[in-house]
Amino acid sequence: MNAVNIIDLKKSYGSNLVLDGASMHIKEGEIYGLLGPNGAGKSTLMRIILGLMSYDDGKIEIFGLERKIAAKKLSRQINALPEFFELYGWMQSIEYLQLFADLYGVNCNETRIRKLLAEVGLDPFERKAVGDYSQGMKKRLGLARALINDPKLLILDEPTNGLDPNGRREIHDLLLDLNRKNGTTIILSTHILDDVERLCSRIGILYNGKLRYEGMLLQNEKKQRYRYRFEVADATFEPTSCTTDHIRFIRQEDRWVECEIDGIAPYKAIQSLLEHDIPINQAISLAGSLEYLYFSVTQEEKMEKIS
Amino acid sequence: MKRLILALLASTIVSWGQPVSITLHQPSGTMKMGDKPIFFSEIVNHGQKPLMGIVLYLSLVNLDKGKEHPVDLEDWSAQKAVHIDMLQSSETFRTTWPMRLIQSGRYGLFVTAVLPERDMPVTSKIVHFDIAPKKTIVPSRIWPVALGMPLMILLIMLFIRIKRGRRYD
Amino acid sequence: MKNGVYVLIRKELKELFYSVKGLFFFLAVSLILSLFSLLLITNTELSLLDNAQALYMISGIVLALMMLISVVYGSDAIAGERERYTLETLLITPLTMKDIVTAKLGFGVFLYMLLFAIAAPYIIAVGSSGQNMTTGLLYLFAIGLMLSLLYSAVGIFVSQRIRSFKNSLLVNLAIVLLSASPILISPALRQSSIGKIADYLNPFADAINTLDAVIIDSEPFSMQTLRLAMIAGVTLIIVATTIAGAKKEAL
Repeated sequence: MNAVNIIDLKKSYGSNLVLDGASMHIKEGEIYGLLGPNGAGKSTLMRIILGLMSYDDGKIEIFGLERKIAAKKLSRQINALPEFFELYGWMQSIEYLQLFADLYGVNCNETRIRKLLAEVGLDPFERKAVGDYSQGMKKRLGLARALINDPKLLILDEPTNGLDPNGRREIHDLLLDLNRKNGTTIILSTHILDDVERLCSRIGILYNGKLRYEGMLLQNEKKQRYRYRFEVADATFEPTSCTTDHIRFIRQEDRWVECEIDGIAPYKAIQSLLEHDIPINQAISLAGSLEYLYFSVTQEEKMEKIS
Repeated sequence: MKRLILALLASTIVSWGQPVSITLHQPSGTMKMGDKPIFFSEIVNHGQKPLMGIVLYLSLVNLDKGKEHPVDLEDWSAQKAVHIDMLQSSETFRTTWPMRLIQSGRYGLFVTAVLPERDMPVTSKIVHFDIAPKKTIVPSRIWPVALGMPLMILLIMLFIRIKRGRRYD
Repeated sequence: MKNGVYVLIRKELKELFYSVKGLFFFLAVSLILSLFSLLLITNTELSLLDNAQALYMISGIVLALMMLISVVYGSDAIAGERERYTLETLLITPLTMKDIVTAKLGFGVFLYMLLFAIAAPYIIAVGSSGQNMTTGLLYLFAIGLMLSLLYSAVGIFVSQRIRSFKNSLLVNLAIVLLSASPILISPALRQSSIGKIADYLNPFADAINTLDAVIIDSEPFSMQTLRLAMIAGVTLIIVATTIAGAKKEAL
């Protein structure tokens, strides 16, 4: 069953059309990466899924229930970490989590709250006023709050923003663990593509209010596979000579040779080719990696618009 | 004070020759601060002709020893003067004077009538009365509250601050 | 399972005490009342007031403070939470906007009770040797309760629709000034038929006139019913409109 079905969703603010018939299908138990440039409509879409915003047309089903009709029931099964949120500065973390446990009506004793705090790495600071927390600590506590009701669907907007690399890794592990153990469906909206590559099984790219791409995040996108076109100085060059463990020849047109680089960074591949006396004049990136996919979807749209 | 009493006596003597006489009556019983007694006056036309445009007004004098002075009626009475268009011969006109007793002490109250065609005013006899003091706002009750309440709130704030470790906002 | 409205009221209550800044407000209230009480015993003109008059004046001050507290709190209730980025996390929970508004209204009334608790010792100290003190206290409590609900509701209604706290407060203060304006104009104007109708339709004027009638003029309850009904009626309409108009989408 799909956790979320969004069909032909439309939303406008006055004359500004923010969602222009967006459709999206998120499977139960998957981590779905929602990508798109600023102003693409991601936040609006997430707010609509959360029931914080009305929409003009279309349909949203969450766990088979119509969003508008089963609002109260669904809000007990969903939780979210907004990009911008603040804590009640006068509270301690335990009080903060207890407040939300009470608001969700979940029976949450102090042991469970402490366990949650430990999971997000805040257990040493449980009695510190949250007003004194750093941005990263606030993010972690926000995440703990988002897990307080054991949500079936978790919506995260830039969850690792403001976290140091260790903090990011811990949040990644926590989310993967949550997804694996509880089967929690996670929608992750972020500009950090590394987060998506590490966490998501499927992605959707939203651009100008429409979902321009939706699909599995393929292994080649996850495994840093790139496609490059090289210009060689010598036209009589034997292309198969460039094939190594990490570089695979694809085709040749005159002095242009197309190769796939797999498992190493492109600059290392070029370095290796030069070391093998292959006379490369220039190199052009063609495809590969999530970053490539993202740019190709959004830039293509932009070029279409310009033309 | 002597001058005031002499003036009042003089006006009373002169009034003997006047066509009107005024009497002022005080309510029975003792009076204390905060009471709202109603005094009433009667003015009678003894003359043969109707009198036009008579103005009656009330005067209050504090007669406490050493504090003798006329009292501003601002807070004491809403009705300070009455205008009588016409008083027929032998007619009596009654006026009520509601008072609000503001301060304790010994007082004299009288009513004066001014007739437009006469040079001398006509006054009633002075009604003497005492206003017993009444405890209104008691300073010994105010001070503890006025100082105690802010202090108590400050102490609560201090207690919370100590209990929670610091001030959070 | 705990009721969301109750949970939110409890949170507001804790915030009042633990954030300390809430208590500063009440410290200011007690200082104003202390100042007035001390003026009563030190100022020559004010010291001439009888107890009933002083009781009436201090009741008026309490009502004015209540209006101010209610609209400042009401203005902050939604717009302030939104500006501080704390509203969205509340709305993600099963709480509806109606729950949040109801909780905020409930706490607005609680704030008045707290104000009354602070004011009561002053009222007793000032008015206990005069007439109608108990009656005055009862009327002040009941009328203040209704008006605090009314002005909190007005504040919250505006706060939901105007995105910034500052603008919401400005609009609400203008409403307070408008509703208090009949009291400021001369009694002679208020005696005209239009003035009387305006006075009757204005809950704040009704409140002041009722306190005047029961404390100074010792009028019986039967003579207050129309004015009290008017206050209750307007309060009911405004509260119902505020709750009914509360929507999550207003975020």
